[in-house]
Amino acid sequence: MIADPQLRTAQALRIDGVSHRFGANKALDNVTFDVHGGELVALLGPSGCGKTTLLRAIGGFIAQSEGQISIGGAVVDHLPPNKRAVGIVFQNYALFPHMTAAQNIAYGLEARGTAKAATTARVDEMLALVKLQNLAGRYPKELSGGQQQRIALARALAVRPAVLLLDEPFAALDKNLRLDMQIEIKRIQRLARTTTLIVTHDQEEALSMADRVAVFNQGRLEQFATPSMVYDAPAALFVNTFVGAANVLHGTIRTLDVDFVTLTLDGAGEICGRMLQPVSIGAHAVVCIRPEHLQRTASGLAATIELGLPLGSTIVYEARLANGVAVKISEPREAGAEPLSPGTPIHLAPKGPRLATVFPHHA
Amino acid sequence: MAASTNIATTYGLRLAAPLAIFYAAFFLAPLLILFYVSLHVDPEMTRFGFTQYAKFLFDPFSLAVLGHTMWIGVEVTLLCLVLGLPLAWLYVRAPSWAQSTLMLVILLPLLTSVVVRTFSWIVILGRQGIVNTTLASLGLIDAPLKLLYTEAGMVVALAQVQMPLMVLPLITALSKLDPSLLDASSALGAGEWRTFRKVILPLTLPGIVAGCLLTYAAAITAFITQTLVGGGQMLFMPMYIYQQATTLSNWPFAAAISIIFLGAVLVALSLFSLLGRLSKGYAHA
Ligand SMILES: Nc1ncnc2c1ncn2[C@@H]1O[C@H](COP(=O)(O)OP(=O)(O)OP(=O)(O)O)[C@@H](O)[C@H]1O
Ligand SMILES: [Mg+2]
Repeated sequence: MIADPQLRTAQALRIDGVSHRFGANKALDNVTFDVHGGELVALLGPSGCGKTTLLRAIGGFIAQSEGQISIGGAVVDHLPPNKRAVGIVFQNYALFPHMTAAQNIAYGLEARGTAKAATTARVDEMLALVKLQNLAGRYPKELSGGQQQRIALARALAVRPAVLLLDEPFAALDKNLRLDMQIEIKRIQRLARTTTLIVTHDQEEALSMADRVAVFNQGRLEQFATPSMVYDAPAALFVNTFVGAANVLHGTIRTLDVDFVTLTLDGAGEICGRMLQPVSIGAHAVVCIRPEHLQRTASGLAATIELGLPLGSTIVYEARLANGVAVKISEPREAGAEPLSPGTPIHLAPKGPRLATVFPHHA
Repeated sequence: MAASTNIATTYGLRLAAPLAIFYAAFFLAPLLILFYVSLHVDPEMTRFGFTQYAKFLFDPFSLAVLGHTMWIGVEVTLLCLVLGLPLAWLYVRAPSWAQSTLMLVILLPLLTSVVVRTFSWIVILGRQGIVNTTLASLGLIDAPLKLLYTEAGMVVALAQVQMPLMVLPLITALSKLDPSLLDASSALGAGEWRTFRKVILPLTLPGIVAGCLLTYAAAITAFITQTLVGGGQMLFMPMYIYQQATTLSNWPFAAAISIIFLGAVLVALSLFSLLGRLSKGYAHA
């Protein structure tokens, strides 16, 4: 398959200043990013942030109000969906109910006028890829959710799309099947080297599957980076709180260094953190620290344990700072260790100054 | 499970009883009487025999009337389908504020009296009617065209009258169609015509068959429109039966051709619904 000379996969996708309005409502706001050929990118964001709208614009089902979309270096804005070489797997799979699994997979090949023998061969190849050879003759209603999804994937891949779009493909699946399918899609995508965009609500899914993650909020692209970068070095307050858990503390900037600032928390002490956007002394700001990046120390922010939850290999504490703000701390649990009892006074500090991120606060 | 099913069935049957009695009294009984009458040899109904049936089936004129009537039904049904499909599509795709207006337009033929509708067509198609005066004032014709009392005029009038019977089932079928199937088809490289043939048509076939059944049955029995717009020159089965029964008082013959007409219609309808059954495999979509 990889040796196929006609292979049109591994095509780069470029989203350039794309905006889209539904009436007064801006569903996409000046979105720009580049996806390398063969890359798997996850679009992550809360409901209604414009993920589906972006997929529909790339697929050609809506014409964006502004901006350009190019595939393999060529602008595709003027092309209808059937001329874009974009494969799409819809959230509800959209299998043709009156066609068998094999006929569904063959549909796109027939539409392209592929010879009968070549079509049959390709259908068999795709059925083998999704490991459903024995169900070729079944109708969609006779297939389970996961099987339908694999057929939908095989149908989209059969025509060798330049770009594959998956809109919340796992939403309907239970947890085990979901994990199987994530691995499966990743395997198939690697094998076929298809540039892939996968929409998801589920941050674990995004972080585990994707080469890079695009985090959206209210139509804007907040960050486009590798999963570790998004988690470790969030570029915006939204990303920090949306991806993974974070303690958000309010305070005022006291000192400024090149990269680092000291922040006076309202009535709870001082904390040092990494600054991403320029702030000035005396300005209001927020600092984000993940629970696993806080540690108990001899000095630091004074707090009182409220609750300790032993969760197998970790202990999660909920503690209250002097100003009454609740924070979460997660630390590894030694064998036999019991959590501290409620009421114990402790001191907290970030494990390193890079692990606390300071964002300007716009009240 | 079995017990509850039983209860449901008993209730179902009991609730259906009034309808069953109604049918027995006003449909089945008259039909049996009709059949009984048709078995008489003479108009005075003194002797029994099958001669009335033989008289119809060996008479080229009668067979031609039957054939012509059945054919008119096919023409009207096809015209309704060709015009109704885009109309139904338009309705399904229209924004909801436009849908209520469109629905009113679609239902209008059902909301006006048959006689009023038919006379409107006479006004529209007559020598001095709207069509002729418009064409003449545009300079497209010198002398008025003969539209009224022609087969074409009658087919158009019948199609207008029966249109709701075609469009309503089509709307039901089309609105059940998942729009993402059309997007999927397009994304897989299919053009509009291919999507129509391979996805829309097969998935709406049950609706199309239902619409055709209703339209066909209504068109061939539409006595008033056939008579008034078709004029006296063309004879169709409903009028033929009427003449035999009332003008000539030949009740046995009228009854026999009614039974034959009924049989022919049933055969035609079963052919249609056979088509529908072939498509049942995926009608659930
Ligand atoms: N056809 C439409 N007409 C008007 N507004 C729309 C339309 N489709 C989407 N929107 C709006 O555009 C915004 C983005 O919608 P979109 O479907 O892209 O969100 P999403 O990120 O896919 O959300 P979800 O995760 O819930 O699927 C939403 O505010 C939505 O209400
Ligand atoms: Mg969506």
